[in-house]
Amino acid sequence: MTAILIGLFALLIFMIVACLIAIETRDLLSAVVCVGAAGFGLALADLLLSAPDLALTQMVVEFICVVVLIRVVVTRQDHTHETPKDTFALAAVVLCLGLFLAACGFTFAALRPFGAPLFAGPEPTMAGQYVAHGLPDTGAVNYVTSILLDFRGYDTLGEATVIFVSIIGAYAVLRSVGRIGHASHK
Amino acid sequence: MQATSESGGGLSPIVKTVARWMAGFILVFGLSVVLYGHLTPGGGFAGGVVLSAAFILVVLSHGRREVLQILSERAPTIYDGLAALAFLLLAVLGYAAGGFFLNFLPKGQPFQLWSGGIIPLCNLAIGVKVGACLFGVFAALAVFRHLHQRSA
Amino acid sequence: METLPLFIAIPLAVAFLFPVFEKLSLRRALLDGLAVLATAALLAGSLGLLAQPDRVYWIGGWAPPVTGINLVSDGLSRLMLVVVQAISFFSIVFSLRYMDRYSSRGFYYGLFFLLLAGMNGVVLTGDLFNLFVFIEIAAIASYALVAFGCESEELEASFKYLVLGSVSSAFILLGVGMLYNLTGTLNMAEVAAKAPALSGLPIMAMVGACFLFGFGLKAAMVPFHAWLPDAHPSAPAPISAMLSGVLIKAGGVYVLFRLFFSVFGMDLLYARVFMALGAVSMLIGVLLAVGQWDFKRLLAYHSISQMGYVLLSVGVGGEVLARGGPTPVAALAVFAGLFHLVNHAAFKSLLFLCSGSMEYVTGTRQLAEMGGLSRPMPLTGLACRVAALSISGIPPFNGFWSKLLIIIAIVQAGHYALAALTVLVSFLTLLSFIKVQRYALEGPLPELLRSVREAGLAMSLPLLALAALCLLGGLLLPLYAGALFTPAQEAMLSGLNYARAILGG
Repeated sequence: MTAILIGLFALLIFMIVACLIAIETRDLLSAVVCVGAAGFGLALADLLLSAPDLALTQMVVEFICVVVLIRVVVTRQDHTHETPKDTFALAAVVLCLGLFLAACGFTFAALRPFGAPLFAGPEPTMAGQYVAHGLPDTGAVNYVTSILLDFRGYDTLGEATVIFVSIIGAYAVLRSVGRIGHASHK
Repeated sequence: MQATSESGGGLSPIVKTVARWMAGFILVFGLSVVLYGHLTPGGGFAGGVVLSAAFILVVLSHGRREVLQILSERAPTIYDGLAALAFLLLAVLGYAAGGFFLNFLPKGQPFQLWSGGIIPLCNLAIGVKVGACLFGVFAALAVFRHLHQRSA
Repeated sequence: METLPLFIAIPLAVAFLFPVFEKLSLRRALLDGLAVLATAALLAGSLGLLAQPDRVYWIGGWAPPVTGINLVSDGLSRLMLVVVQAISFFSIVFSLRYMDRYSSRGFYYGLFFLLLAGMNGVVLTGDLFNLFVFIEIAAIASYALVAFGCESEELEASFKYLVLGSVSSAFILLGVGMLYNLTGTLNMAEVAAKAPALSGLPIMAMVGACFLFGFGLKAAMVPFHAWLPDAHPSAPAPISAMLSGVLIKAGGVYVLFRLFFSVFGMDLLYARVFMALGAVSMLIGVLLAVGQWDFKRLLAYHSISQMGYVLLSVGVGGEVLARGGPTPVAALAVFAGLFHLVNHAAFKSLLFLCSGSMEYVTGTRQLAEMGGLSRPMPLTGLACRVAALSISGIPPFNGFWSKLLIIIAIVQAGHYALAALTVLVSFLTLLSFIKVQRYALEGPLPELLRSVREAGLAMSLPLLALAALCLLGGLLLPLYAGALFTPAQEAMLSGLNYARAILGG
């Protein structure tokens, strides 16, 4: 258990560093690569936590995202670094983040410890019921799928709709002509 | 390479041929991830992304100009919508059979491809949906954006 | 025949079909007809639901002990459902003509129905994670709709909204995750059953803070309001009506009520936070609104202020309840808050639709560039006057009655300073709408607008219908309060009995 924890923390630090570099770097391409590295770290973390479904999905999504983003940014320049840095805003952000983390550190002690999953506990939980009824009641050998598409299939419909609305929204916003007729309020 | 790709002409014939071959294998892999989602890790979401990767590979290697001849701007959203509709239809068929999202088909033998009732069908619908969707995102950003820039 | 899932399935099916229709390049009348028909059917269905008793629907047949996702029809969700369907119906009818000014009708309808499906899902669900999923659907659809005109300032407003909305969603998800970890369930009723055992733990304060921040931002309560004055005016007018009229309620205030009354149980601290957020939003919103010259922006600030009334009133109700005060006072406060919520949906949608109607014919949103519009546009002028009188709380319109009830309830609860504040804010609201009347409807007609005419019946009819609702909503209150408000008020006051009502026993 401790080996997994150490690995997890190493991955977490790696991901945080990658995200910070992605924010701070002036080169968009390096930023994209760093985002990809953070996502790859997340996939590894999923594997460490024995979640192959998640790891697989995270991995392929990450690959595709990096490919798409590289294709898009390869000819672009980032101009945001030309705006001067606002020290006050930075201090405020750091302060808020610190307060939030302190609150988390103070309160998270009440949460279930690492390595004691919900379905293994003595008290009846949703997850425990899903594991107990997964194969006999749905016929799917993969518990993840039985939860995703049977017990909580309605959630999955919602998630599929989230993807649908994102792409419809993106296509709508990327239209070249938004308004017809006279331009208003200009 | 960058200059060719930017003008939309695609890469060299060797790359195109290899990419087409690869795309076939990627498609098969994606389909197996989708169809065996209820037996092994994977499923509609992961498999759909793999499916989209095959198409993205072809588009990247062949370049924008060739792709635009056979692909309409609406195609990704249409497949997306139809697959989502198929998923919803499965839910509504369950509704007709007694309950929204009821798993109304026989559960079958565990470890068989045809088991789990509606689950493999749902996976298939989600796979097509996610594949079309991610390819649509890529196409919107990499292929069609240039259309609008030219016309604007 | 169980109708609850249809409130999600119908809008989703319609939304999924629109890209296909766009491809088939069907006649416009067909798209319009389908949209109107679908919203009308949903409106009729939601009204039909009012006559039916509370019930729970377990999706896929997964009822406890194997807890799946459930849809809940209780008083509060039925009330919200009716409001959402009604405003979306009027907005769609208004869009038929108004959206001529925009391209890609198919995308518009698609996004509109996804927004509707998201809100219906939020209102009906009894599951925390499902709530999050449907809030995301509604939110992402609204991000895209805010930028539907594709102009740079609209894109900027949408981006700001998207960033803040995503932050709030992240906090909501964090809260849901913590609750799941603590209780081992995502079902609201099961969480509610376990909530009393957890109260007092510091982590519950953290969960509460996450939800307050997340949903407070979605409801645009001060100090989380920064996105709303940019986002709501940027959208096309029917969407502004949907966002201000129902989204900030269904996706924000409703969920706050549901979570804090039915799932956590109202305690004194939460009630005071509600009251403080409400009072501050009420005052700051109206102060920011008074100085505005952009008609839609002014209306957007008033949305913050008016939702402050709702939160304040319900907070007072919760406070009376939590400190063991007289139940009739709590009941009155909650009733008044819900009544004002419905009234705000009616008059604020009407105002946004009026602003859209004026923008459609004049091409401007600036009050200074308008004037004398009540003569060439008598119907819009009339509707706009009715709405302005309603929001300012002038008898006999609906806003007067709900504000009166709110003030009575606050006084009965013993918060005299807050009652005085409420009156003051009401006065400031009147002031700012006198400005609207003076500059938009009265005075000389500018030379440029000589040829302006009413935009047509399709745009005027929803205005008149909503205006009639504003007038009759107050006068006929005793006739329909029993069907619409009393069950909702009872659902909120029964608090943690929500768990027993759903799980039985």
